[in-house]
Amino acid sequence: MTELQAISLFKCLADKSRIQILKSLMEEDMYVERLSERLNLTPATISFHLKKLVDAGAVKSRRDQYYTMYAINGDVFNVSILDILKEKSEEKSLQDERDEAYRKKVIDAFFEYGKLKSIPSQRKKELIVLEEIAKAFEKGRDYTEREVNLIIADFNDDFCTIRRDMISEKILTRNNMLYRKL
Amino acid sequence: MNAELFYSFLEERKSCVLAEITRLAQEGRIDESNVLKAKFNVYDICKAVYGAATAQSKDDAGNAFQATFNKITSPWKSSLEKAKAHGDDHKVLIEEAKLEAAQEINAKYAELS
Repeated sequence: MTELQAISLFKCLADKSRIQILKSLMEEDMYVERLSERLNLTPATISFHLKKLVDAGAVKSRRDQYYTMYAINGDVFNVSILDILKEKSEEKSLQDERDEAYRKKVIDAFFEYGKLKSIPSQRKKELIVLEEIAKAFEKGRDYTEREVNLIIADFNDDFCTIRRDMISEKILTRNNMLYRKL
Repeated sequence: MNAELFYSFLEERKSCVLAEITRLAQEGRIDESNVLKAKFNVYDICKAVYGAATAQSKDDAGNAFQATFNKITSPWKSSLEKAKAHGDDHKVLIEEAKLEAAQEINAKYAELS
């Protein structure tokens, strides 16, 4: 477990409701409604906490007929805290994880349900946003301007600005009116 | 419509929700406590809207208040549906809390009118 994963797990565990959920799951695997009745919390509140627990790796989910069942992720809890503390910090991987966390933060702030809410004014943030949009393009394939516009329009109506910025940031190249992802 | 009763209802609900926010935080249920802060803000929004409506026109304050308050709260319903459709559990909690406060306010307003 890396330091950042450990921090994310400990942060997630620092909540009474989530601890109560984990205690229930220690007894047996459960689905949202069962936890909701047991802990006297709304299903929406339980789903919210379960998502956090799943994201932190504390809980695993599986489909079981009509329900999604949740279970404790034993692998995570079998790691001792001393083992986590003994692990050497690798600055490079920590830096990568910090960059990735920053990237995720920017994407979460500017995208809502896959749509770009606004074009960031800060260049660093805009670059992250443009790289995210560029994931919709295949590498090595030529696109007409219309195709490029249609792809970008799925994210934001201002496809002209985004297309131009993708060229100037060298994310896309333009040759003989054809565009290609670099 | 008795404005004083309406304001005291809003203040009372604010104190109740604030007490709940504090209790949840003390219990270590920080996320749930933070969600309730969104509900708490709705009572202040309502106070501001009602204050502006009564300042604008004493005779038509009721209609002006309801029109503005509904205009503010109706996007919350679509936001809730959107959040549910996309499995955005955090937003679902926030929108549900805000709508709960809006429903309480509308019910009280109807009762006092």
